[in-house]
Amino acid sequence: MGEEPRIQAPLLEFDGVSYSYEGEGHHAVVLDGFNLTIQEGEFVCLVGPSGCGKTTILRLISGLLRPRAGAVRYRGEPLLGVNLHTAMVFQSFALLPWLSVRANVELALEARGVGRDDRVKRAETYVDKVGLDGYEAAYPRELSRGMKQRVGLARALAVEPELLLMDEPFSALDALSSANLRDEVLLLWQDESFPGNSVLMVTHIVEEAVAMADRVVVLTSHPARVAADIRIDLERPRSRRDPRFIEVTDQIFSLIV
Amino acid sequence: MTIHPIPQVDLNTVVGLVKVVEDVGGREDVYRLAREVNYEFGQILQVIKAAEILGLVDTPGGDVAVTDLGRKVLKSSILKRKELIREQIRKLPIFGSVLQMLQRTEEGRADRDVFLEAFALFLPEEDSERLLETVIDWGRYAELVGYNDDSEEVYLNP
Repeated sequence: MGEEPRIQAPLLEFDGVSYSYEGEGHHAVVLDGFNLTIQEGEFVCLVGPSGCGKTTILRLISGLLRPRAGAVRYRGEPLLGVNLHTAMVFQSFALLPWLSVRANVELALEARGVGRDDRVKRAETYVDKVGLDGYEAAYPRELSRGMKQRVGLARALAVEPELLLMDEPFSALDALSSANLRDEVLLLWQDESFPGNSVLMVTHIVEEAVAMADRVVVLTSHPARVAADIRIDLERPRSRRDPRFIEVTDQIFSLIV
Repeated sequence: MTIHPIPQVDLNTVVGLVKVVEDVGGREDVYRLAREVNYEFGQILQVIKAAEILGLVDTPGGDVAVTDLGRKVLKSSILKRKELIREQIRKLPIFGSVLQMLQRTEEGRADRDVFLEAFALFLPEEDSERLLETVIDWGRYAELVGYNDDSEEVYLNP
């Protein structure tokens, strides 16, 4: 009673966020009054030239960096520390070489304070979900890059994040492995049992963004600004030969160049 | 005992190949495909060969064409894909030989050197180390065999 009906806050909101890196004798403004909103359930891709601040944006969302000005809000609340509702998939996989596949996934859960029994169960579930059943005891050095990134994915999903962050997750893979992994990430995301349902992915490959995302946010650099925010309404799976696919891809290219 | 080699490629690239070919209409010229995915010709042939022995593509007249099974794999969930490919891997003669060797041991496990030697004897033109790596990789995927990298032993999947 007395609660006013409120419009539900977006999942994530950058409100006039500024961020700069200070070094000896130099000062690099990465973000200046940056705005971006992500709604729950969206698959959003950020594309832009390298060095345009995409990784800084991911770090601000995961709470590893704090804005110098403005606010990053998660479900309407300003982020004040590490964002436990997110998990990250890294370009470089970021696996611990001396731990098995299973132990790498469990470690991420241990770091979040998940109890032992639950850790074991959840690691098993997500290793299975990403198709790594049979590889539990393998060490990262025994795995191909594609399989390594599956471990990275299992580790992030096991945390059951509301918002999955992916930083150029396929760029260390060859064209065939990445075609497969992209496809399978979409299968996972479209599956009802996908934990959370929101994804923010950074990429510099325009076709990849158009193939996967609901929205492609195009950034310019120094400082990063949203040059365009384009909704992709094509049904999945999307074909690169579809004239509408080609049209929107060309449109985005023209904004970047 | 006869042992037939398998192409030494990652299964991610095999399914990726099927996906890429299906995306361009289900059939593609091999040279054009190699260029599109930035593979050397010899490299792409290995991936195509792997996809072919797994029944996922055919190679009519210099092209690669996705088979019904390949299409079925693409339409399936990750777990179902694995199940379908697992069935194909199980049929490959090299796994029959490897399983037979393991079943003859007391505890269902054997030192990697046993396999390296067998591969070197029966397939002298193959790189035994790489072949064993692939057998372990595909064997894990199919949940037929496991490998303990600390003790360097291959074992039957319990």
